[in-house]
Amino acid sequence: MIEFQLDARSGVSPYMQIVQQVRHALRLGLLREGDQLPTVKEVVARLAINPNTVLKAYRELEHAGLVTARPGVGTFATGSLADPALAEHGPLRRELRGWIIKARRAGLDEESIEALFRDAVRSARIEGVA
Amino acid sequence: MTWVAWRQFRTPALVTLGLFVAFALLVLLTGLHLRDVYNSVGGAHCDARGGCTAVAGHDKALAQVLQPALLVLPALLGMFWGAPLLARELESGTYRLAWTQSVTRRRWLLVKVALGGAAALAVAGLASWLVSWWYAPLDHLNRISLEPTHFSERGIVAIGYAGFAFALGVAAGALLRRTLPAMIATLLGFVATRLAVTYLVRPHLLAARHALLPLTFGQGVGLLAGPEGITIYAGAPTIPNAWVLSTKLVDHAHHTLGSSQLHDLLARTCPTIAGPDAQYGKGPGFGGSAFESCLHAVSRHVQLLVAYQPPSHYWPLQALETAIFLAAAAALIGATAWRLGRRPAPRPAVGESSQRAERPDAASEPGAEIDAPLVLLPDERRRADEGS
Amino acid sequence: MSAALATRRLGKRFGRRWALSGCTLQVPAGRVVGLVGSNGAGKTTLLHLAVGLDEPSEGTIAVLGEEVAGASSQLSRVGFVAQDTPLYPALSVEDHLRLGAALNPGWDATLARDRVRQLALDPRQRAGTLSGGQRAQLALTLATAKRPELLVLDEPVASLDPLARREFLRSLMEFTAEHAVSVVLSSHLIADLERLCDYLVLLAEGQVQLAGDADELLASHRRISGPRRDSARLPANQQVVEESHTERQSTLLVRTDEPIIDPAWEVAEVSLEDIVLAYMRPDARPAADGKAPKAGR
Repeated sequence: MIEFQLDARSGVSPYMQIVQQVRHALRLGLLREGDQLPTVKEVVARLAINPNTVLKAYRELEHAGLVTARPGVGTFATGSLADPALAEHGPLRRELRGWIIKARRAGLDEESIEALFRDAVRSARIEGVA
Repeated sequence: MTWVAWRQFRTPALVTLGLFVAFALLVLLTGLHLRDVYNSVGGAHCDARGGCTAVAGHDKALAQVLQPALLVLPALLGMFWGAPLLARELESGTYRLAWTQSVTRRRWLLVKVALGGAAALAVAGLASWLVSWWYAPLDHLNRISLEPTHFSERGIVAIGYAGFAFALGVAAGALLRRTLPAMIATLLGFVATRLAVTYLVRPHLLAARHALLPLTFGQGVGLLAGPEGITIYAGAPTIPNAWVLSTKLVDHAHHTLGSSQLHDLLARTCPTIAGPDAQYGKGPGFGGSAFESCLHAVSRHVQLLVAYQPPSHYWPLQALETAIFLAAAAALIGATAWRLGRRPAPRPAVGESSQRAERPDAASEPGAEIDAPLVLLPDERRRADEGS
Repeated sequence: MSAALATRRLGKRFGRRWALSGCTLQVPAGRVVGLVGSNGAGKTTLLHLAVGLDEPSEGTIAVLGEEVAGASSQLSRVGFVAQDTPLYPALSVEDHLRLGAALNPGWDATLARDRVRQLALDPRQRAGTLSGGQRAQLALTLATAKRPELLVLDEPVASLDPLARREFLRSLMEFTAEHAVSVVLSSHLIADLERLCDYLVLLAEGQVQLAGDADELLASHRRISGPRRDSARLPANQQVVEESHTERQSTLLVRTDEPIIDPAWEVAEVSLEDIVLAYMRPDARPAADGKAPKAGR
């Protein structure tokens, strides 16, 4: 069973950390379809966090189709984050490739490109436009 | 709640029980011995010269120690059982635990008071019985039962005193919120009240009787040099087991005689002693026999008018005084319980959404929305001169 | 559902000093509410009013839909852990549980026994000899075993070592997860806010400075920085909470419900801790008419 960690200093809210950890586990295959996630009580007992936080995380995962809640039994992983989904976004990929080439020509190394990209994704979310 | 009250009361109760058992044993053993002595000299018919003194002198030290027992016991009960009841909880902060269970404060207090109070009354009752029993032979000989201090040290009044001192302790604890000050206040309040009742209330509880007695019955009857000349002095007569409240020198018409009137009377009746030519304290006129015959002559014109509580009033007075103190105790407890549970009158709950819609100024009221930060207008703030 | 705690212009005065004034709150049920503020801000006063240990000098207060009046029925719905966890030093752990059972009709003896066993407390040990963490856990046991609908805790972990603190909060959250209960927890430590609380009330000098859902507060506050600009020139929908300026740069903490699209600003999220600290400053009050307050420097 997956065990959650909480990084109090990461700047990411606790509920989002749980969501990310579940997605990450699914992506890596640590969590497979049919596996049970820890109960709210177990998570709370381990991390000493608000149970509503866990509930919210599980609800969001359910909304994204990644888990399903069976009342009285528990929460179970249903979906997976297999790579095939990513392969479908062909036009986006090509556009991104083009941008990377431009950035390289402007003199940015791989690290700077990643940093610039990550920052732009973050800002877009924070500013509320994406 | 009863278990809780007992558990908190357990230690003082057991300590007191231990001390009381020792006390009771002491009293019983020595009392039986005293009775032996008393019976061996003939009981009430003891020989006033030898036998009776033997009884009176027996265990004199213990008699003196036991004498004020029934005055001291209630004070101790008030200080050690009554005062800490509320004060200790308030002082140590445990009231924050006790009053946030599911029992109302009033019920909490009343159960604790009922337990402690009942125990105090029981202890006082037993002690009263023991002490009165011990002194019975001596009291029979001395016959001062209605004398003020003695009255307080016998009979059943100690039960009233104990109830009152206990209640006073509880009330003091509630007001002062600290154990030691409450104990001191209880002691002082108890002593003051008891003295006040003894001398200001008790004489008037039942109508006094009056009697005319010959002058010679007065104690230490004699002559006194007063401002207007020599006058007669007569102390209160001894009436067995009665309480003499006042003694006045009166004439045949029952008018009180002032010292100038007494002087005139003396001057007329005993010219050698009190006449204008007599010299006070000197000469043959002041000899024993001249004095005796003067008194004899005067007593034909002067009598003692005595106001007193007769022996038959003993138990009625005991009952009345006990009742007064117990009533005062009940009043104190009632006032403390009322003050403890005082609450504003119940009003409709504030949080119900249906009521919010009805209030006309709900929309403009700050904080009406759940999630907005609250904005406070200047006139709603009340700042102290000294900030926190 | 009734609000867990609802007050209307609540005020409490001790002598001449107003420990709490003009306090109006509607705290929803089913949350873990953090009541924060520095020492002397009025947190204990508010909590004592909520559990009936004190009476208001003005205004009203209701808990779980009922006006606070010391009635036995309401007392049994609210569990309280007072500051410094008062217990009877001469009574044993067992005695305290017995006290709880005797004084609370809704007492869950199984829950109490299980917790004591889980905590490895010796039932016969006197409360006066327990460690700080054990006392706190015993007090929490007493408050939770009566199965309240609202649990109120006044700085329960302030004097505990970090391990005891974590254990206590863990126990508290476990209880919250298992039973439908509202929790109001006061603290002058704000570090644990984000992981524990989903509703926040901030008191300063006896007045409510901030009250709201934690997620909503996080979503509506941003720290923006950019070239120096007078804060009065900001759009009306952006309320400035805190600001600081250097010669060339301005940094502001703003509250807004809409996206900040001005490209001159660099926008960053803030933590609950930052938000609380900003509102705790004496000069950071949003004015009644929405204009920016005086500068912080």
